[in-house]
Amino acid sequence: MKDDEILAKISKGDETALDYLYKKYYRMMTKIVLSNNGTEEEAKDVFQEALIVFWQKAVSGNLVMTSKISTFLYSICLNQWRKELDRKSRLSNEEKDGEEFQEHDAEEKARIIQECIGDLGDICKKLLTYYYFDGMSMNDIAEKLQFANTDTAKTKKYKCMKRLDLLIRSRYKEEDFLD
Amino acid sequence: MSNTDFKELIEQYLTGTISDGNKAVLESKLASDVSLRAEMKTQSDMVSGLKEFRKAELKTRLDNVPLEVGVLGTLGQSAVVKVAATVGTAILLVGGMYYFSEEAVDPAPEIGQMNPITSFEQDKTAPDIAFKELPSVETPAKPVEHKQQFASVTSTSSATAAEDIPDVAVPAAEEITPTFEKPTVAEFETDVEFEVEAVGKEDALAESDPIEINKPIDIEVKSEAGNSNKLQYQFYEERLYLYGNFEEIPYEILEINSKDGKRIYLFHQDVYYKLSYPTKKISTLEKVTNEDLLSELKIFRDNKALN
Repeated sequence: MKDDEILAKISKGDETALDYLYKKYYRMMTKIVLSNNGTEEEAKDVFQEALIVFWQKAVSGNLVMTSKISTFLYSICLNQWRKELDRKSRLSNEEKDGEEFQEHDAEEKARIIQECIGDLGDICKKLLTYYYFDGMSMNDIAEKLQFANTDTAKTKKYKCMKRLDLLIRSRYKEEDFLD
Repeated sequence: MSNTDFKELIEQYLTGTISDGNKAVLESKLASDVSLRAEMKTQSDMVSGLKEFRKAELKTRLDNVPLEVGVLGTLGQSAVVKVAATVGTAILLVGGMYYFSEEAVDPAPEIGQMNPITSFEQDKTAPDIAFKELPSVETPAKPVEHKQQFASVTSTSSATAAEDIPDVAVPAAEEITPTFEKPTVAEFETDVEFEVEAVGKEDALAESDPIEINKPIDIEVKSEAGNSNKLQYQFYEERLYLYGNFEEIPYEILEINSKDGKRIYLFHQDVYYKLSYPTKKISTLEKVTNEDLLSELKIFRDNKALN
């Protein structure tokens, strides 16, 4: 598959293009990490992150490609791994202190939110994640999810957010009570 | 500006589409309006959660993408064959089954010094061997851009024939008549039967650009029956020696040549081992524990079986 074919697929939100890129460049990209003091797991993680960043940019139409996809991915991987090495060295130099309770609380809330999203219907999940993460337009979402039109998508999005909000509120309070 | 308008601004803020002017308006309102701040926090938590959810979903998807191509080189998948050829990746699978009764292996100097064979008896009393997955050992990459590198598997006596490789598919087991050098380690006897298989070479070549074939690397595989369950190996002068109880239990050598170097894995009694290549020391076989790698190797072996 050529780069422009891949980009065309991604712009339609076709995730098989992601699989293709993952397979095609796995070895090349993980090598960056593996040959720079990283483990296989870290290498995989960096490449996945990079690919997802690329996906996000490409699917939302915020990407103007001036280079080959492989070059682009390579530079993201390189940057991500540099950042990670940086973070690691900072962590080892810093003493961890305080704020653990607050962190715990935030983690707990994040966990509950994940649960609630998981409990949403399939359409809501897709609609909201396509909109907020992939950055797809309401028009594209309406097309992909076969809604009648953009307005239907907007209305559904509003309802889904409302539903998620209610789910979180009820469950977060519940957990508070249990604590 | 009405409340609804501010909610709209929050939405724009969270999707990164807010203008600088509106951002300033929103921020000053947030500073004074507690309930709007709460609304902002709720929305922002949900959006972060949704982003995280989607990211995890995509990662799970990627985790499930079969990687036999990416990790282990390229084999028989037409879409990537060309890439494989250009980056110089070739894979050979060698399945072997060895029986030993009469002769022993070439005694490498190290064997004498390290005495791995006689140590089998002692090892029997040793506690379970703790296998440990070492960080993957990168073998020196050769400059093989636009060249195909092959490894040939030969019996001790068979000649290396580089020019034959692209055409030769699978040497029949009967054709190989291995002759081993005079044994010096008397207690080991060998009677060797080879089953050698090379898979995918033609596929890899089929769509490739003209390829200059590098001198193939000879790997000779010998094994010795040991009395212990301890499995050890050694590379000496480009030959692989296996020490351990391989008697009557089939095992397979998975040899992967890529531009990143040579990787060799051994499959024996449902366990995959990674061989660090080249290592001149006699080493204990390391179990492969990385689950991703394991599933790649399984797929790889299955593909080989299908071919």
